[in-house]
Amino acid sequence: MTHDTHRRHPSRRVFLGTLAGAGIAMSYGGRLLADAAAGGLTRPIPATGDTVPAIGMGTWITFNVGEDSALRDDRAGVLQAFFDLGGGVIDSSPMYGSSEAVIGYGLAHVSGTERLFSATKVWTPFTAFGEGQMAESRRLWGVTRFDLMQIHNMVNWRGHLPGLLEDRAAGRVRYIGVTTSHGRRHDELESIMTTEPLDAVQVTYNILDREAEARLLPLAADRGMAVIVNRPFRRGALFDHVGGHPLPGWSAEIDCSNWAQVLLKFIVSHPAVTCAIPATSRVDHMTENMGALTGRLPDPDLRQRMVRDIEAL
Amino acid sequence: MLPFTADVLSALYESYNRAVWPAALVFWLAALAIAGLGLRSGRHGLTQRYNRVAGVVLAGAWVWVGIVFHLDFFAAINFWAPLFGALFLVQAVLIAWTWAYRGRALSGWPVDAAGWAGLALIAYAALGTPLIAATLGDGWASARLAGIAPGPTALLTLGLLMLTQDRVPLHLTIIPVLWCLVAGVTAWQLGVPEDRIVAVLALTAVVLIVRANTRRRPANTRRRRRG
Repeated sequence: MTHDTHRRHPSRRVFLGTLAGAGIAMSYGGRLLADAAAGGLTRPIPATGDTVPAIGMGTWITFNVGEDSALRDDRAGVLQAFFDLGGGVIDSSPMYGSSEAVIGYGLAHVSGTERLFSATKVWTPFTAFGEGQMAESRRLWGVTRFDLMQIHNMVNWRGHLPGLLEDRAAGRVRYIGVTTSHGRRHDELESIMTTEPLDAVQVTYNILDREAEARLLPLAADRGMAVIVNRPFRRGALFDHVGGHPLPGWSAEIDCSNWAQVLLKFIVSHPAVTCAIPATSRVDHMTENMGALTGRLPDPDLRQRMVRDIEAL
Repeated sequence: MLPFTADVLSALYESYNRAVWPAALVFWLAALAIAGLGLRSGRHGLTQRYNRVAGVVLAGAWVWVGIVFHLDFFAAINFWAPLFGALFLVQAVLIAWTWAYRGRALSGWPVDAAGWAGLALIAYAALGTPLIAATLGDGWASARLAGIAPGPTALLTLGLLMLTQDRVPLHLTIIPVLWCLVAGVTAWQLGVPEDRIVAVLALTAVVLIVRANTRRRPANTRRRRRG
């Protein structure tokens, strides 16, 4: 089963979202950017122009619940909420324990999976094990191919990249990329982005961790690479940072009713960002996150003010 | 950063205990038997025989935890589990060789402060851990039981080593202490206060073992005299 049908025959919701995304690109520079109120905010993948919802879902820790059937059903509920609210991009890794198996369990039990954009990673220092690991990931997810296959934390990227290039050329995977996190190894990532024909990169970027803004995000835009943003909430620490503080007055200008939406809209309003992938194990948090797909986005001036105000908290 | 939450770990122990029942009860009783054998070893004439049986059963517990808990259950949620499983199997081999085969860990009734502390550690590992889980933790169903769960098995091993009449073979303490530190860090990261004590107890045991070893005789001295 592949899940790219919606990209060939976009639904009304995705189509309107795409128009709104195009509006954003055209009006960047106004006080407030055009909103995506008519549908969920989507962003194009530069390599093909296909679009994905700008808020996706990570699965680190949150979907690693083992074999426990009650916890699996609970996560299936989170997954259902994700699709119901317009989600599409799900990111995982063989490193995340049982997360891939739990995703597969969820996909078999929820509706709306035609919007799925499946993204996982190859994570092994041994090139010879990569193919088998990716096959196991396909089995666990219940898909015949992944939309995006990434090299986890650049582990043995020289060994895995030739195989991924072959897979992409043969249609066994649609896009390929590399990931990093913690804001580490940016120099090496920059070198790979400069020299290798990748479709996507995954980096850490949030309102307090903005190192990627300096070189990686502009380079991705220049090289035509999609950017997936991990740790949008600094693994929850940003909620501790803003905890107890009321939403700033400007949050109403960008239609945010909670801090999660403020933090996510800061990320997806960067023109080089394709998608942020917050992780959660709760339906109410998923609802808050996915609310960032609608409403207005901050313009560059407001983004700077957001940084100043939140750093000052 | 751990790849799982406290709730998931608790659910894992619950499903593990349920899956291996009644082996859980058998191994827990075996753990108590090991302690009993260890205490009787020094008091009666069957020293070496009891001691070797205790060593074999204890090595079996480490094999069980390494294979069934780490490589099967824990590996589902933690990518480090295969490494832990391998270390537990190494410890099983070390116990089988040093304790059961060569008889170099001759336990018995406490003869000094380290011995009494060892007895307390055994009591905590065998009885205290499940009681704390039942009263302060998530209940009996997810209790960590000596003989089948890594933490109390490591503490039980350290306690039995402290009961030895001669110098404690230090190489038998390395992996148990390492695991207790891993368990302590895990408990600290997950916010499970009742499990943090595992690391504290292990480090205390190390201090007592090192101090006791300065006063005790080398392990082979007594056996040579007896022989």
